[in-house]
Amino acid sequence: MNSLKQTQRASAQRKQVYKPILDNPYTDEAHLWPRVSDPALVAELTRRHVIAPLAHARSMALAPPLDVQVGFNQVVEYLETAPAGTRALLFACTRDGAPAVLFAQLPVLARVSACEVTLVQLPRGSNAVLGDCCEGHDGLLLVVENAKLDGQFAARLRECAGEQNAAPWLKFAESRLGVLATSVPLTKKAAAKTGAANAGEKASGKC
Amino acid sequence: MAKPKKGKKVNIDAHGTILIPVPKSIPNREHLQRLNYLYQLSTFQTMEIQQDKANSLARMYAKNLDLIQKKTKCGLTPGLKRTMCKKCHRTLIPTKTVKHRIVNNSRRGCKSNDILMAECVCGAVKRFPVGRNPSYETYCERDGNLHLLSAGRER
Repeated sequence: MNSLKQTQRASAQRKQVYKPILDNPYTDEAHLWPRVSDPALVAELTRRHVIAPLAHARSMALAPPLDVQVGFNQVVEYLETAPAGTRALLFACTRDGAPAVLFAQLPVLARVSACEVTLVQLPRGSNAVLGDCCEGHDGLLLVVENAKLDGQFAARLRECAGEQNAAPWLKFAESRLGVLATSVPLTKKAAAKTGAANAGEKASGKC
Repeated sequence: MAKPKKGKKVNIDAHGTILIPVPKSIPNREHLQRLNYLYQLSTFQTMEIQQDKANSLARMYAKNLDLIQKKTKCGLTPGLKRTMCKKCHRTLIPTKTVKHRIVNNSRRGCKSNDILMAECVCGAVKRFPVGRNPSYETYCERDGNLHLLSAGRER
């Protein structure tokens, strides 16, 4: 009597196939979010110099001590209309299960923006921490670098955050080719043959 | 389908799918490289050529890309297709050809009804319901589905 597994094997319905596919040459990690060299230090610096003051001001119902833009719409609007020569730090919680399509726009936007933006990826779990200091943040917080922000903190953060490729479109990037694993249905005849082959192997004790 | 060789074990998973090892080379590599070149040309034209307000050349390259992709039946990842307008064939670059906003038209302003809208300068709008399932991944983005082959391997 055949087991359930044997029955499943004998009735192969589909076959795995690999389809060639072209990926976006600019979605490489080097081209998108720069790699943070010391995530723990970045998280601690951010908590001490940005999140704690904002959370304190919020709890006391005071005006925020820093010039910040919170949430996707505010951040995008600021980057689109920012005057030239300004500097900003953009914190993003990219690893907390946020939609990839939301964050995919920001590195390109940071490059084409008139203001100089430093992208800082926060480590996993920072989404909840950001929630302490602001509401509706979408995992995004932009801090404008001005007299209200500690200059040393900004410089240290810029060191840790890693450098972003300024204009990747100026240099030809190698094509990112791959294969996509998918499956196609087998014809009844082919399925029967596969089943017979497996059954034969079982009988001769090869499996 | 080719007849299975005698004595060769056929791997079948629990869903009844015959498993095949990942190929070491890519068929139609030339077509894919041509598409890649056209995409980068289109992006470069959009980024750097400021005089051409209508992005004529960039759109022509992107249209060629679209036609060749359909003719040769080559696949493009969703991440690449999302950066191109289906209507006017512009490469979608924030501040230059596209504007991104999150809108929520629900009465209660529920977070799950957030929609990311990407509006091209031609008026075409792409809508992504990001609030419904924030951890949504396309089939390509899921682990184990896309096998990128490096330049050394693909030759």
